[in-house]
Amino acid sequence: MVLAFSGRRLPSLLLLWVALALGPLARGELAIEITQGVDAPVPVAVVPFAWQGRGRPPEDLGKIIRFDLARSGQFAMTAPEDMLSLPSRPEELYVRDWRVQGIAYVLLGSVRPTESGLEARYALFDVFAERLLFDETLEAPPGQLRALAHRISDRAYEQLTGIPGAFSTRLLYVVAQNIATEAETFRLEMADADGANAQTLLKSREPILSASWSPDGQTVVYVSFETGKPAIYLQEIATGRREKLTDFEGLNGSPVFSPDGKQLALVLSAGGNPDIFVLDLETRKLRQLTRHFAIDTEPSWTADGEAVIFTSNRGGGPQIYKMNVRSRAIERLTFVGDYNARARMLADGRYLIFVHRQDGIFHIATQDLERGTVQILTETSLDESPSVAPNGSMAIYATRSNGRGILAVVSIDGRVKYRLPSTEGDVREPAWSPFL
Amino acid sequence: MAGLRAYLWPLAWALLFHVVALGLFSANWSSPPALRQNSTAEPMMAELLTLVAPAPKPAPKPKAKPRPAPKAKPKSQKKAAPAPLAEAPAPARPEKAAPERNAPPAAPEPEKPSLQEVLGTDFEDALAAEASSDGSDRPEAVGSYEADLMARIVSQWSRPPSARNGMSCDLRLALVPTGELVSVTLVRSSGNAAFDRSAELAVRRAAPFQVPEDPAVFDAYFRSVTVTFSPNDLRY
Repeated sequence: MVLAFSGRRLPSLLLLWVALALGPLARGELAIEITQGVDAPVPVAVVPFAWQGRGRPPEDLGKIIRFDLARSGQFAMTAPEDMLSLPSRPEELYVRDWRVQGIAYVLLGSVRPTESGLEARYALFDVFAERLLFDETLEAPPGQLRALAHRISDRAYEQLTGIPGAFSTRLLYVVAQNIATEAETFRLEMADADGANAQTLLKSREPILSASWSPDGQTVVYVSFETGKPAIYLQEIATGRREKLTDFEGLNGSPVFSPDGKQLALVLSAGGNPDIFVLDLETRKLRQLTRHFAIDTEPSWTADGEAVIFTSNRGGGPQIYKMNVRSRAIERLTFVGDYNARARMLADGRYLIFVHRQDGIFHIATQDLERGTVQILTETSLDESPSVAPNGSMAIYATRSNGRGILAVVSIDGRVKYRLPSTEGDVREPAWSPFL
Repeated sequence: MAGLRAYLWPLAWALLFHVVALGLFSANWSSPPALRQNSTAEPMMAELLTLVAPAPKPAPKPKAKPRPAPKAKPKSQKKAAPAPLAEAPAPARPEKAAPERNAPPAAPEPEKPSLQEVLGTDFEDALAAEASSDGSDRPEAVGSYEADLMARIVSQWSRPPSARNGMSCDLRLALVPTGELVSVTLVRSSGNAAFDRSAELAVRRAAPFQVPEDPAVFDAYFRSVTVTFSPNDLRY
């Protein structure tokens, strides 16, 4: 009797203790705490913009915005043919048309030509709350329709995500054609963040490397072999005016602007082996930062300009180190794996993005500097040169596809990925511009 | 056969020993002062048997709270183990061991169920008692409606990329007895408008909700519901 009893009761006793372990609940009116979510893309509709000029519109603003928002991976975009109505003003919007499809936000608007160019009126509507989030106008010079669209994308993205949009930014990259032939050429190009409007900044028969932006987005620096040996050049984008900064004996490489734009960190091997130097752009004075028999290369700055991070093999294999530019205090940052290189620090100072080798394969990875955890973001195998968008949401990098170098983009959390189509040649060494 | 029989007593004792050990272990959790007395197995077993029937419903508070502890001393007779003053409690009749008033061991103590009460209750009853115990006299069904409401919101909550662990906002939901959402009010902002709006959107997309049909229960718990959104599963 007793035995049977205890045998039957024991499990219930245990279960009860488990139940007791659940947290206390409030009295009376419910108070609920939600700590998880699904993070599925939010359904957004961008209605084709109405054209209020004569003739046909040059291009649908709505379509450009739709591609922008879709690329961010945060939104599920509704195709125009699935829309039940095509309002272009908030007054024309029928909430039910959108609610029935589960669409959370509707962006709509119109464009009209003005004396000075184009004017867009656009509005973002919260379908479930039945609330207008903004209703604004924006002007642009003639021919700047795409720029206008990207500005509207930025506004919508910031409103919906809490992060400034980076659709109005640009990319810098190098296109190599006819490699290892007589007709080998290299072009330094600049394009909009969506790959459109590509223009050539420099064309050369010799390699161009390591292009990067000044913090104001007006100037670029790069390494060119046009004289037969590496030299670092500064070039104003608007005027094309160029200046040679260094052409020392040996290596002149990896120039990067400090966050205040007044200094350049770079690599020189004039002393025998590569070390990190800092060039003051006003006084033109060079200061040697690292002094080590190992290879120190690929410098970049922390957001506060206090330190330079770089790749060094002083510990055996390539790893990322950080050196304070004033005190020269040095700290090793990466410890996971035997190959970590080409690091950039995110603006929050907490995450590092770099090239990480695992099982012989090169990936783009991030490391949480507080916890030390490394997350591999990309699945492809020859990924290099990550460069982070100014809003910190995405990184562009170079990879290979079907034997060709292409550019690809991955979100910093690794969830969103897309590729930028390349029309010709090998595309490499991307650099994402600051906010322009 | 006879061989098996020979094992019966040792087996019985072994099992008895384990039951008692487990009982001691849990008794320690629910009422610390009782532990000391429990050196003998018999009083415990006796209680176990006597309490099988009653299944007292009155909202027992199984959590080991410090408050009931002082009370437990004088009234300890209903604890399985207890009888703090009894040097050698009579095995089969623990109520005698209790020096003071209030003898019948089956009489349930409202605030604090002892291990024996819990054991004596049917499991379902015990669970029901547990379910209704957390808010004082919260009906059992509230928990499941609450869980359903929560699950619906969770499944619709898509956090913006600016969301960070540690952000937190409170929304007050006003519901009607059909389960429809009348209004959502932001009663405490996270400081991040996109985050707040993602929470609000989750609620609006999750509506309508399943709510209890009993109007009294609905009024008491679901007419106004406060939901706190505080992610802890984000990467940052």
